[in-house]
Amino acid sequence: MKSLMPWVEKNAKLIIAVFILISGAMATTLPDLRINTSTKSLVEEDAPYTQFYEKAKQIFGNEEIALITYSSDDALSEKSLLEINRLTHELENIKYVDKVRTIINAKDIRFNGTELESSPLYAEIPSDPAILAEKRAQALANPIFRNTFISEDGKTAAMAVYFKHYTTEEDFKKKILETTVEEIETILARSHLNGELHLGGLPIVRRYAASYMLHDVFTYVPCTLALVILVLALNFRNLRGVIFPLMTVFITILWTVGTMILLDVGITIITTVLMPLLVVITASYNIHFMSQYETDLEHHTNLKTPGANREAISSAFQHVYKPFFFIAVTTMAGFLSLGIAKIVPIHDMGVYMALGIAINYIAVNTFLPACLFLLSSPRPVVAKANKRQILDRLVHIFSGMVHRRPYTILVVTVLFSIGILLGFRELKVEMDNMSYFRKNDPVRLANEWICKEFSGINQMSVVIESDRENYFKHPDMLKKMIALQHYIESLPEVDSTLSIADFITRMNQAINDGDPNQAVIPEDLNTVSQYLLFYENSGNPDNFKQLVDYDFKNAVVLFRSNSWSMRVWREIARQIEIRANEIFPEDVHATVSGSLIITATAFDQIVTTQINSLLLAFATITTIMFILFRNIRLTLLSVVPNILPILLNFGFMGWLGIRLDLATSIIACVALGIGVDDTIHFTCRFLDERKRHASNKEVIHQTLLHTGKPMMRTTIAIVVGFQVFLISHFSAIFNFGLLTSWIMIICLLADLLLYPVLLTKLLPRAATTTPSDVVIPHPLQRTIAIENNEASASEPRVSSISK
Amino acid sequence: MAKIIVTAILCVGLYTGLAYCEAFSGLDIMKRNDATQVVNFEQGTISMTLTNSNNRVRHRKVAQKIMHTQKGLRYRFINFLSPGDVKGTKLLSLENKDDDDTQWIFLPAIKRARQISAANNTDSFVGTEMSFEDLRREKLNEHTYTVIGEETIDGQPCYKIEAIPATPERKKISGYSKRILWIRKDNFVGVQSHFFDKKGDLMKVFQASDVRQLPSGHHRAFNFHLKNVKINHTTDLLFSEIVIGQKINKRTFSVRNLK
Repeated sequence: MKSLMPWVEKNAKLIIAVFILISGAMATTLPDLRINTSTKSLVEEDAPYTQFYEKAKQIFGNEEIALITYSSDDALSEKSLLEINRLTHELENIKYVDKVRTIINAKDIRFNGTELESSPLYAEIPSDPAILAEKRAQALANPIFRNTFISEDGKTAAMAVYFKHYTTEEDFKKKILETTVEEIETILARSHLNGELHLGGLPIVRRYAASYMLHDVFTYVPCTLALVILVLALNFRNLRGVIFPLMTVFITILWTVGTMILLDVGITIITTVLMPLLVVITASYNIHFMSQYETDLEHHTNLKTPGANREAISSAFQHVYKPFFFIAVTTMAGFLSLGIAKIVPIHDMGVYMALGIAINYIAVNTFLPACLFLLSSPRPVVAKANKRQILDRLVHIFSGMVHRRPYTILVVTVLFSIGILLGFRELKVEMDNMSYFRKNDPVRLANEWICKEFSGINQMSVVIESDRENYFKHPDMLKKMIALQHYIESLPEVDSTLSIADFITRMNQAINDGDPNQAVIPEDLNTVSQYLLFYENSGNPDNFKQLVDYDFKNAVVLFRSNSWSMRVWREIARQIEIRANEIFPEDVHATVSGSLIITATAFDQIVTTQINSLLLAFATITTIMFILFRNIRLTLLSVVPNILPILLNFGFMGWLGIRLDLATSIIACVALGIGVDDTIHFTCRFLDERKRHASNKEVIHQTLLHTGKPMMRTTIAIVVGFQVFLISHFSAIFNFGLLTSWIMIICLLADLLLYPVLLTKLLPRAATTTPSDVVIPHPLQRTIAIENNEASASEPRVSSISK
Repeated sequence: MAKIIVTAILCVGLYTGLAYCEAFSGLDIMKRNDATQVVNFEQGTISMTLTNSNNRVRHRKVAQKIMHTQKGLRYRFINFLSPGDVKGTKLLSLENKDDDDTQWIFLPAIKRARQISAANNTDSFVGTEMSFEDLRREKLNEHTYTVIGEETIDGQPCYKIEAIPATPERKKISGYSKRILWIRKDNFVGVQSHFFDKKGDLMKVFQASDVRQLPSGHHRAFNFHLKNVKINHTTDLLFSEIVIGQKINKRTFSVRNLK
């Protein structure tokens, strides 16, 4: 590695040109940045549920509809019906709207006293109060309409907006989410109706999620960059100290995001935090290099000496490349452990964060020194001593506490931990698309209103498969479907169900002169077939496409729920599948399907992913620690200040009622990857100081003096950086920012208070005096030692801000 | 003298040309097309193959009898021959001059005939791509017909006509904003149509082939292919045993005959 800097110096212009060229190429991909809100994007494309969902969608059509509710004192009055009708026509004129189903145009089968009617109940909107009253009674009595098109009290009517067929997810996004939803909103905004309108449904949620995600990304990045510029300016107080690290951060972001775009990886709610997180983490690495560079530059007595700049760069590189290597590797290990997740956004987050850190490692060791090589030596600005008084005082306080009250620290830690860990019992695993939005968000309010006042928006289906044509024309099967519907409707979270059996029942009643006692499934297969033929004679070829396939081999029971909880959905799905497979014969198989079920399968994997990725991260990081320190006891002790904050985080989440979801499940690995850096720095310094001083007090004091302040500064910078997440539109990301900040502070306190106590009490001096220690000091120890000497000599300075 | 003769020939030619153009306006072509359809008695069997977007098919076979009354009103009787579970289902549709059609259905499984309310123009006829509007006689006085060109279909020269609903009522009840019709020049049989929905988007395509002249002198296409391009559903109709002019008992078109 020693030959790297001469090579960088020799090829400085070429290196800069290559980096700028690749960055420019990557920048050209940015317009293709894709926001992915598809529920399918949560799990792998070849996951069984996804494949089944795609197959079911192919047969029964897409179930993602938008729902508009119209509320007034009487949604079935002439005035209301005329308003709904006018709105329906306007909505149907939107290019990508296939149809709008309402109480006015939905087909009804009834006997009117003389003839069978198979037409919309309100084919003509009457003005006669008597006819209106009669139709109102019919509408409210119709089980197919009730809670689907009209609320039970007749005050709220629903308009279900179906979208035209789309072939790809991107097609759906562009035509429906970006264009059509906006047109719907425009029509609703200028409709000036007497009734109150609410717009909900999964496409609306997805459209706003995408818009918020884009907004968040474009807010986070400038905010974190502004913060980085401020930190750089305060630290270095010269242009090169700001410009070059900033360029390196830009390169990292461009290459990482560019790679994602080239590999067609969309931004999800989880990966919205990727860019700001990369900015914060990589900026601290850049600061580290620049600080060392300026320290080395400052030690040159004559800055005007030719080669002073070159020597400072080479020296800085020699100081930082190894510790930076271990820090980068441990942080990457933390993130890469998320790469084993089967939940795609978490996997992407882990993989591309690790990639970003690797890119940054390369850029900091090549591009950054190449830029510095091209400059003449400047005079670094020395920070004012009083800037550090608070941190100095804190270091002294911590040092005193560790020395004077080690057992108090242990007891307080144990008691505090027990108190917080009790919250673990309250920790709930949950995924709830609606709770991602903040409580006062208009999208959340509208959807919650519809669910509360009308009926559930979320639709799922029980797909019942057989291997025989016309199987679902058989009366026995239709009766079993009704039995299943009764069971599903008995579940508290379900509002309504619909199947082909409902239509057969309705037809049987109508054809038997409207006799309510005949609202049953007929006993004969031919009767059912002939009813269906009759129905076909007054509808469209794909009349029952949503409910039964073309050859009646497979059928569907649709049901709607008012819950957004994936935990609830998963449980409902499980119960329904068990019951359905009990009701139907063995050669028939029932599976619950729907886009939200795919999300629900991701829910199943949250805990598994959390445990597996954490175990992997710990195993990897512990191995790296062992390679670094070559001491089992020390390695085990170094795990404590890292594992404790993560466990406390889960307890804290329990007490605060923050649920373990997609966003909060990545906190542990992120915090572990970042937090372990402090432990490495502290341990290296501690070992070094132990060789110099006989007294534990002095060892701890010196270690804290030289590593405590940079650790505090870095933690403060990261915590402040994480505050940008508090402005997110999503409460999930807000929680991520809040909890990661909290865990980083706990990590710091554990490293500065608990860890020194553990080291002094549980790590005998003999254990750290190994042959290798004496003969060939570990490269990192040596590096830190050199850094330490120089830092001591240059105190007070800002250079050590980044550990 | 020569000049007079030339002028006279030119005048006659121009007059003849104008007369020709006038005789074959869009409306006139459509009148002739309508005339080919209106026969007193017509019967035959139709094999239907319905195919959905997933290439799943349904087969049906029906016997059809059509009578046009002296007032030109069309009566249609359809008896389902297969599949077995709908065999014997009968449909009777009686056109009224100023009112909706009267329709009856007989379901053999329950041995009952039921009058059914008038279907919407846009509703499908027994699950095919054909709507009730397509089955009814062309409302010549409610559309404007414009010849927009001439094209050759299957080697046969055709008039290309644009048909647009002209009256407010027709505009309201029709399922189409526009139709483009290809009418053969030699026998005025419609061999191709494009149907556009109310938004102006192409909705259905109809193609007729195997046009034959029957002993009665009338021409009929024996193969129909219809495709709903929006839902990718197709209907193929194969006509056989078409007989025109053979008297059909009027009682065939009575409700009593359904049972």
